[in-house]
Amino acid sequence: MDQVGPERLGRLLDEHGAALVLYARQWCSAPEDVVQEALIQLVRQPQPPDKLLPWLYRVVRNGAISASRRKRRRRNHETMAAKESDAWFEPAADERLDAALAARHLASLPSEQREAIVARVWGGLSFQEIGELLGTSSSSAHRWYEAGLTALRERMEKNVITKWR
Amino acid sequence: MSLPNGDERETEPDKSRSRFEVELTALTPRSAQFDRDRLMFLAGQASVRVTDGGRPQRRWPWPAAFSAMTAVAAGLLVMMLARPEPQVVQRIVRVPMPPRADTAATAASSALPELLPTARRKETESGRQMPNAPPAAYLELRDRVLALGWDSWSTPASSSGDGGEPPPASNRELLNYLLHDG
Repeated sequence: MDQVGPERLGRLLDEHGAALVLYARQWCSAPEDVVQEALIQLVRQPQPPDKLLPWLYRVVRNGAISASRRKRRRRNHETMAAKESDAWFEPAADERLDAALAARHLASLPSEQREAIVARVWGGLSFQEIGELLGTSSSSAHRWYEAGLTALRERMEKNVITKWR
Repeated sequence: MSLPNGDERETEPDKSRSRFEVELTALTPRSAQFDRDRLMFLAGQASVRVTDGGRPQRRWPWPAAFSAMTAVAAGLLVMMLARPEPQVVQRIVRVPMPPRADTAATAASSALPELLPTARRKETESGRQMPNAPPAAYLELRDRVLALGWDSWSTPASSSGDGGEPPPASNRELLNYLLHDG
């Protein structure tokens, strides 16, 4: 297979750009730049990686963490992510879930649980790929995902109940 | 969000997911603010740079040459700055000088009377004297002029010593002498 051409790059951008940006937004405040650099890095590869999407997520993750370190914001990236979490999702049309509330509670999760949820739900990665991405086994990735999902649901339900009272 | 096609990832049907998970999936990540044209431009630029006949482009030769030359230049600069001052060594060299002109003239005039008979004698002994050779006075005068200059022309050739005919006074006289005797 040859280099990644413009058509494939455009398709990747359309289908996975928003999810990649959401994934990078967990660490840095300029996720578009990180994703753009990852896509350019993909084009530089003489042969595209076998598992393209996990490769992209890994590059985006490394780039976002590096950008975070460069700006000396790693120590309080949780706080920063929580502050900017309102902008993670488009406003929900059917209002089954409050997008801002979901983002806020998602940002408050432990990083490995949050990463697993974002990579699984919006990135569409398998647990095997998430495990490789996070440097752990697929079972651990699945466990983090389930734990994070449970915690997120509980917090949101609690918040909704409090709101209705 | 639909799962990407073509990968061996787990494709669990939506019905097996929890309701909450489905509701989460319904949330749409905020649209990315990409400058698509710029991204495509940078990607095209990167794709041209990376390939050179299908192989990754080697980027190290010029930086390596630059680094090497910079190191050499820095080394030479250090050597130039750290070089000790040159030591000045004073050495007296005595060079034998040729005698001065007046001294030479005096020496020649004193040595000439001794040298000339010797030269004449040698020529005679070797038998190479031409039958129509000029008189000895002329030769003596010639040698004197060559050695001491024109100033010695007026000096009477008192050192001829053979008591013969006087030397020719001019070139014409000498020519006539040669023609008649020849």
